[in-house]
Amino acid sequence: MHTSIELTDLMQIFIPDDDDDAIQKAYLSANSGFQSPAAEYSTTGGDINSICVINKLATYRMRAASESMIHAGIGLNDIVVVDRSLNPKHRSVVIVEYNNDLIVRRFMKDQVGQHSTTWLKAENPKFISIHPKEGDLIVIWGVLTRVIKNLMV
Amino acid sequence: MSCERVFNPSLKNKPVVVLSNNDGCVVARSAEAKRLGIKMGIPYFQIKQFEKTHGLIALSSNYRLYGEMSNRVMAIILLMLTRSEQEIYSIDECFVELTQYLANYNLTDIAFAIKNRILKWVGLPVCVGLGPTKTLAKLANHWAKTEPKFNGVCNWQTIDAQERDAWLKRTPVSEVWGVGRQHSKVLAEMGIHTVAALASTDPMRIKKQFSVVMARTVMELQGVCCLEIDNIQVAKLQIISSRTFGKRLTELEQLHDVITVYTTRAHRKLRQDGSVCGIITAFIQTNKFREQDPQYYKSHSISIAVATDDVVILAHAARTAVSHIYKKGFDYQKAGVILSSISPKGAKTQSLFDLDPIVDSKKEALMSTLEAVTSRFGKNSLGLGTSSLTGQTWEMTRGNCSPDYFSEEGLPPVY
Repeated sequence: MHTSIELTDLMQIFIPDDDDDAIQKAYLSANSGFQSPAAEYSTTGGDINSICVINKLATYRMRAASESMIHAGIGLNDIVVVDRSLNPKHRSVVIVEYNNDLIVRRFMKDQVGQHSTTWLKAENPKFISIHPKEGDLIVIWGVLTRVIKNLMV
Repeated sequence: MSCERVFNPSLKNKPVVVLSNNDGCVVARSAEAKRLGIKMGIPYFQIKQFEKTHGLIALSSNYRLYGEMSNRVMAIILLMLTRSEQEIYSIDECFVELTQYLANYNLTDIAFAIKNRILKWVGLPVCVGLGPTKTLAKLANHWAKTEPKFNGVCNWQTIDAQERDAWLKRTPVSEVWGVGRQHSKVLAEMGIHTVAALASTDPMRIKKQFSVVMARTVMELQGVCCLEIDNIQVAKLQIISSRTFGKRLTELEQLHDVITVYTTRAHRKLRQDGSVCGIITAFIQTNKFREQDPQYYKSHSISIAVATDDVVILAHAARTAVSHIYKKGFDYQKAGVILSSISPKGAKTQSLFDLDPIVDSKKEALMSTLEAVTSRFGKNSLGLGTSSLTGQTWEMTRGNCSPDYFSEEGLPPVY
């Protein structure tokens, strides 16, 4: 059987994005005659992506199609940012495959001494929580990192 | 198939097929569809009845989805290496050079690490084949796909020698990279039916019978590396852009419109390569499968005085060529352009016909603007004349396409 190896010792981890400040600064200083006193500081206006997206290659956007997680702050039609490279921890909000659908629930890992029970909690009493039995296979699609709400009128 | 199932788990455990352009024929099948006896490449209309009898689901190709997923897979592999070590071969395959890791790492472990990371980050199951040559790596990849005991990763170097011999004798020679149907027939006449047989043939004999390319394949099977990892994008020598129409067209004006679109597409690739083109060929044809219809196929080439990458000139030449070959009274089903006599931009020799450098730089500015707009707003946002307007009758039929899961409107719903 294969062993899992630590990928960090093999390869580079930091890949600067195209709109990385470092590249922007280098470009500016090469092209402008006038050296602005603000040159040291970021000129890209801040980047929403860097707040919402940690691992671009494993990140996906989805749309909340129900109010199953309303008490977790996820409203109908909100956009959720899902990262497949993260592993769920107790209370992580996750996407799960269930009955041919992708559903959102809170991952709960109740520890009682040595024994732990994992279940998937709906944050809305009107929706069902899932309590998998011994031997059931629950496929975690990804872990939610952010929810994006539209507040415009 | 796998891409569709990532975002739509209801497609699992069901007979599903993906159709080619214009929903013509089957290009991908789920295991359940295979069990119904649906063969690769079979025309859609021949299996349509399975929709009612067996609940078959037929999806149109969702290029946006497959392209995005492919980009992610290739980028994930690249994250783990340096750019010079990866050669992207097609939308779903790439070669990777791992020789430099041999001393310190177990390559099979690396292969599993890559496979598992792709499955986790993108949800796509991939198979990995490792070998001392590209041809052997491809062969190992085939075994990884077809023999469950490998769990998706097959390393040529570490397979038990006796088992390996048995597989070589069992695998038909047509599975070797570079050996197609035609070659297999000729090899069969020479008495070579299996990979083992081909691998033990003298490359010189193969070179005489076929070509040096085939001889290299034999040497690669014997463990001699002839094909290096090639990540340098070589400029294409010929650029072709053509499509079959969704509906049959009869009027010259319609053909002008489509040829302008295809020229624009080909021009994009020309610009990407940094090339200019000296000859443009346009062709139009009727549906050769409808033998009851009168048939017409004609092409015409136009030589351009000064090799150019100006889309306006190319499109004008293409339309002129079509006017030259168009005949009324035919139902045209396909058209295309071929850009040839391609050379790198800037290499052109001075000619009496060279354009005024000021006009040149204006045209360059126009082209750069066109590129900037289309790269930001999409390929069809800006084009020449009426050619880019959507809703044209000749656009591809894609009846049952899954949503663009990466667009605002198509985000997958979660409940």
